[in-house]
Amino acid sequence: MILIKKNMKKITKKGMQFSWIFAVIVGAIILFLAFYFIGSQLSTSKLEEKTVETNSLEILFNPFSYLGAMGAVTAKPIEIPQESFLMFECESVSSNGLGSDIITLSSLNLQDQGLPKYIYDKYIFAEDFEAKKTDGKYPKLQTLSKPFLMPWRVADLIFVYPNSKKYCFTGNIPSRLQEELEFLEITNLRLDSCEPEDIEVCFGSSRGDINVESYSGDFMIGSVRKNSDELFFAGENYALMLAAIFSSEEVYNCNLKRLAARIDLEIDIFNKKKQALSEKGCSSFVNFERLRQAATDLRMRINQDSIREFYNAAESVKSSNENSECHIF
Amino acid sequence: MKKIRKKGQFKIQEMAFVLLAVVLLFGLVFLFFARFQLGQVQDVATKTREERAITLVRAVASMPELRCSKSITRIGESSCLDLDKVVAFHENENIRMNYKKMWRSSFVSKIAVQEVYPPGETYWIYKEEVENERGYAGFIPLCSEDNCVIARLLVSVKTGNSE
Repeated sequence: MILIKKNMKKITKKGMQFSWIFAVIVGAIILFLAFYFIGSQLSTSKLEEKTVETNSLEILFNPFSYLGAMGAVTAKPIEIPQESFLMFECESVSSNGLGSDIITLSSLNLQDQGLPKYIYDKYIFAEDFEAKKTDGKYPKLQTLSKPFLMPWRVADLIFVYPNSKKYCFTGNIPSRLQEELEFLEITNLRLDSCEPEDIEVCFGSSRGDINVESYSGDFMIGSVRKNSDELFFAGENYALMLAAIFSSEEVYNCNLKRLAARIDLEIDIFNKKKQALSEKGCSSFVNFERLRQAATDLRMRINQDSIREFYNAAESVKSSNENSECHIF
Repeated sequence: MKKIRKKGQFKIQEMAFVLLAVVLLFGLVFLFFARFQLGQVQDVATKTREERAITLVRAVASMPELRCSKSITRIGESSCLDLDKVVAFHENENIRMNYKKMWRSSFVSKIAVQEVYPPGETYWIYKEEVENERGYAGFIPLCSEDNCVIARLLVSVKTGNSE
């Protein structure tokens, strides 16, 4: 203590006090700026990394958005480079637009989050999930794609779930759907017996974790019950049924409204085609107005009646198109 | 006393200059680094847009809004564009605008269908004037009810920071 006091006196005497204060202040500022800069740089690089990953994932989904034009159903696992938490949201149609799906990737602890990616040209049905490494391998997502026919191919639906999640379909599975899924040989989707850890999807009864009920007897119109939610579906190729099985209620209903809006836009194009055909002397009896009205109603409210009318209006358009001299679609 | 005061003033001035120099130095380093970072982010963005554009040509060609339906092929959807649907886009501003958000979100600036064999019309599916863009093209049949021609489907995407 005596030594320090002596030294301090010496410093004061030599007029070093000012330099010391200056050095301490500037040093502290430089250190503060350096730490602040490194910290912000780290968080920016993590944000950039997750944003790039989200964009890359969206590009990987691209082929699934047009494969429906070639096949009935497609499935492929997608590998992602890091363990992530994937969030799926959907923005409903505001006015005369298409609405969007929103994907956000973040770290498993949700601390480092990328920028959300707004996707206007795809219909992604999924629930939020963690994509984790298994046996030291990169995390994988199981991706299925199926065209949505109402009555023409409106768009291709994409269903996504983590490879770690295992589904098993039991009960009265529609035979065409069973054949399609058997052909794809998806490892984490069983069609015979269930394991205890599987999510059981039960067709025609209510003993599963997810129960599929048919209103028409052939599962063309029906509902999917999971937890306390009831999701209504319709369609000749079970695309919406699968969408309801793999998706959360919010994402499903929002995407269904987006699809109804897409039908509305496509009707404008088909009406122009009808007009062009008629000018060439080839008539068509197809009247899209009932389907347009049903699509508008579905955008207002989704229930058993609105989905049934939506399906019936589509079937009516389909049969009038087939009976016309010139087909519109 | 005067000498001490002058010395003090000199020290204050010295400190001010040193501080200014330090701030300027760090500012320059920061600017240089920010510019470097921005360049890197722009490179990644351009690369991502290009990757997306390559898959977009196929995606556009298979859109139900443009693709040939059973009415033309008689057997189901086929890998060709329906002339009547393409013309509907070309002639109707409202139809084009309905899909504007979709194209803008993918940084698409132009989508055109050019009849190349035999040479003929160019139909615009979407058109936005931008400074920097890069085009990707693929050949595809363009069919009506009675005949088909070979067409080029051109998709241009914005590059750099063009808006």
